[in-house]
Amino acid sequence: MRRASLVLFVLLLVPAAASAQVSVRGFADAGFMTFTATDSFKAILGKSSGPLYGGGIEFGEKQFFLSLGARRFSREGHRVFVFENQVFTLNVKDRVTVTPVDVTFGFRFRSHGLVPFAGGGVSWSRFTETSEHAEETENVHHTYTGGHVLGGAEVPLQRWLAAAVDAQWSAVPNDFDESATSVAKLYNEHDLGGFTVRARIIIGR
Amino acid sequence: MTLAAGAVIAQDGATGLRAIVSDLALPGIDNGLRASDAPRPPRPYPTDVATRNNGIPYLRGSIVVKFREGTAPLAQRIMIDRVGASTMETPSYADFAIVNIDENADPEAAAAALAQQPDVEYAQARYLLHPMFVPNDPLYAQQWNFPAIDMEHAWDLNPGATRDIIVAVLDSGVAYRSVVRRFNAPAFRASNGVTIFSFPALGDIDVPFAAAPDLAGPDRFVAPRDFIWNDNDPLDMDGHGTHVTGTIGQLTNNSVGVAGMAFNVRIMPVKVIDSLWDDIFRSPFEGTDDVVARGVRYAVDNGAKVLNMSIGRSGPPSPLLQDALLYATSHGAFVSIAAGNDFEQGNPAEWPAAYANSIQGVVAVGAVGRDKLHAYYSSTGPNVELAAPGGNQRAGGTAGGILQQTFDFNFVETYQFGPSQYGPPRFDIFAYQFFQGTSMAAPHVSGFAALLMQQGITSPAAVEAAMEQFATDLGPTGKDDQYGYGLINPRAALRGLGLAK
Repeated sequence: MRRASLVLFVLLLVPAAASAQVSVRGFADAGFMTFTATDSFKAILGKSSGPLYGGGIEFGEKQFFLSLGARRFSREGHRVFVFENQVFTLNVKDRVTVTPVDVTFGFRFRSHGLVPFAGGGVSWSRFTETSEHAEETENVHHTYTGGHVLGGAEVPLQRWLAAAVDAQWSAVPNDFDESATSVAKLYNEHDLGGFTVRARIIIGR
Repeated sequence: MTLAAGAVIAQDGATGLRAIVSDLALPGIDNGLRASDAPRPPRPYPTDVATRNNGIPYLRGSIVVKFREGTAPLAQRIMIDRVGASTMETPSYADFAIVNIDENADPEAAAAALAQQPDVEYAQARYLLHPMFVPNDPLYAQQWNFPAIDMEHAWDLNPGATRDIIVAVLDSGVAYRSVVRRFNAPAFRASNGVTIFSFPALGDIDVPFAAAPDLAGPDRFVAPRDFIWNDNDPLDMDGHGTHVTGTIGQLTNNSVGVAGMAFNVRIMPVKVIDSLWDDIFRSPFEGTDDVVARGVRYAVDNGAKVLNMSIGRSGPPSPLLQDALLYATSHGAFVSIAAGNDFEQGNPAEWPAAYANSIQGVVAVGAVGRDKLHAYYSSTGPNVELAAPGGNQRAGGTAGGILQQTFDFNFVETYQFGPSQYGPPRFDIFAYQFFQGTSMAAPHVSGFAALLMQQGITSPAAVEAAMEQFATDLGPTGKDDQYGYGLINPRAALRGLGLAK
C-alpha cells in the first residue's frame, strides 16, 4: 500500500514539476550508516554500522527541492545469546537487510558555487531479517515509518553533473520489543534509524 | 524376588580382584526390543533395602575431611587424633582427605566432632549415592521423548554436536568395549527387604563384556576411569550408566536402534557408582560422596565440558560434593543432575541435586511424562530448575518410559531368579528397554548442554541461563517447584536471539 502511494506520488509530481519548470535530477549515492540501536546491531552483525547504497530522484527549483531516495543496507551475522553482558555468537547465520525509502523536502541556501542545503522528511524503512533453518513465521518482513533531517552541501562539477555530501539523522521507531527473542528488546533499543553520511553524484540540471 | 543396587551383604570385608582374560571378546549381541517379556517389577528404592553396609547409608571406618589451606600437617594430626583417627590419606583427584577411624565408631559423630575444629573447612561421613531411576518393562520402540522437546527441529540447527565436546557420564560405568574379565564370586547373602537369601559361591568366573552396539563407534570413548575398581576400565555391570549414556549420545541416523540427543559427542565413562555385581565381586570402593567428588574432578581435569550425574542420595548435605560442583563450573564444565525420584517417599532433599539452585552452571532436572506433566516420582523443591522427559509409566504404560539400549537383564540379574538359578552374568547381550526416572531426564539436559556448547555458548552459567530463558513454562507461571523454569526447549535455545525476533 505504502509502495503504491509512493509510485502515485512520483507520477503526479513529474508532470507537475515539468509544468512548473522545475529541474528533475537523478542521483546515486553511497553512504555509511551508524545505527542508533548500537548494541543490538553490534551483537548480531559484529558492528553497528555499515555501508548502504542507493539512489533517487530530485525535483527542485532555485531554493526548494523535494527528493525521493531509496538505499539498501544488508549484512550477514549470527544469532546470539546474551548473558551478563557477554554476547555468545551462535552458529546460526542471520541476515539483516534495511531498505529505507525517504521523501525529503529541503531548502538550498544559495544557487551558485558551493550550495549548502538542509531538509527533512518522512522515512519508510523496510526491515528484513532471515536466519538459517527458520520457519517463515520466524523471519521478519516489516516496514516501519519514521522521520529524518539532513544537511549537506552540493558542488557543481559540470553543467549536468554535481556532487554532494550530506549527513542525515533518522528516527524510525519499531516494535522489536514485542518479541521475546529480540536482542533489541534485551538492550531496550527500539529505533531502526541512525546517523548516515553520504556522498552523492547528481545528474541533471 | 527383587533385589536392588546396594542390596548385597558381603560375607566378609575383603575386596575382590578382577583380571582381564581376553581383550578379544566377541561383539555385543543385540536382542532387540524385549516387548514380549513379562513385565519386570520396578526396583525398590535403595534406601528401602539393606546395603553392603547392613543398610547404613554411609561407610564405616572412615570419614572425609578438608582442612583449611595452610593448615600444618602437625596441626592436622592433632585434630584427627582428637576424634580417635588412626591414619589419613589424600586420594587422587581430591582436595580432601580420607581419615580412617575405628570401625565401631559412629562416622557421623566423628565427622561432627572434627568439623568443630578451627582449621577444618568441612568433615562428613562417606555417604553412599545411588542411581536415580525406576527401570521397567521393555515394550514398544517409541522414543516419544525427542518429539516432545522438538528435537527433530533442534537437530536441524545443530545435528548432534561434534566430537570436540566431551560428555562425562558419572554413573555405574558404560558398556563401552569388548573384553572378558575374570572375577571371583564368593557366597553372599542378600535381602529384598523382607527375606534374606543365601547365594552360593560361583568361584572364579569369566564374564564377557561388549560395547553397546548402538552406542560404540570409532573414537567414541575418551579417558575412561573406574573409581569403584580404581582402574581405567569402567565396565558397566548394572545397565543404568549405559542407558543414560544412550540418551546423551546414542548413535543416530545409523539405521540401528534408537537416537540420542548429542550423537556426535565423545563420551567419557567415569564409574562412581557400584552395582550389585560390583558388590558381589567385592569391588574395593563403593559409590560414596568422596568417590563421586573425585570422579567430578577427574572428568573436569580430563577435558569434559558436560557432566551427567543421574545419581544422588537423601540424607545430610555434602560439602565435598558442593566443592566438587564448584570446581566443575569454575573450570568451564556444565553439570546436569537428576533431581531425585523420592516424591512419594516424603520428598526429601536429594544431594547433590539440592546444590544446583545455588551454583550457576549446575542444573537439577525434574521429570515429566509423555503428557508433559510432572512424573509421579520426580522430587520437587526450589532446587528443581528444569524439566525434561523422564517417563511416567503409571500414566503412560510401559511405553511411557524412556527407551534406550542397555543390557538384556535376563542375562545380568541372574540373582533375581533365586539362589537355585543364580549364575554368572553376561554383559554382552543387549536389548532396548524402557526406563523411567529423573535419571532419564538429566541426560536430556546433558545432551542439550553439549549442543549449546557446540553452538557457541561456552560458559556453564550461560548454558544454564539459555536453557532456563528458553524453557517452555509449565505449571504456575514462572519458576516453580515441580518444573523449575519449565520443559527444556532445545530448538529455541539453539536458535537464540535475533535482532528483531
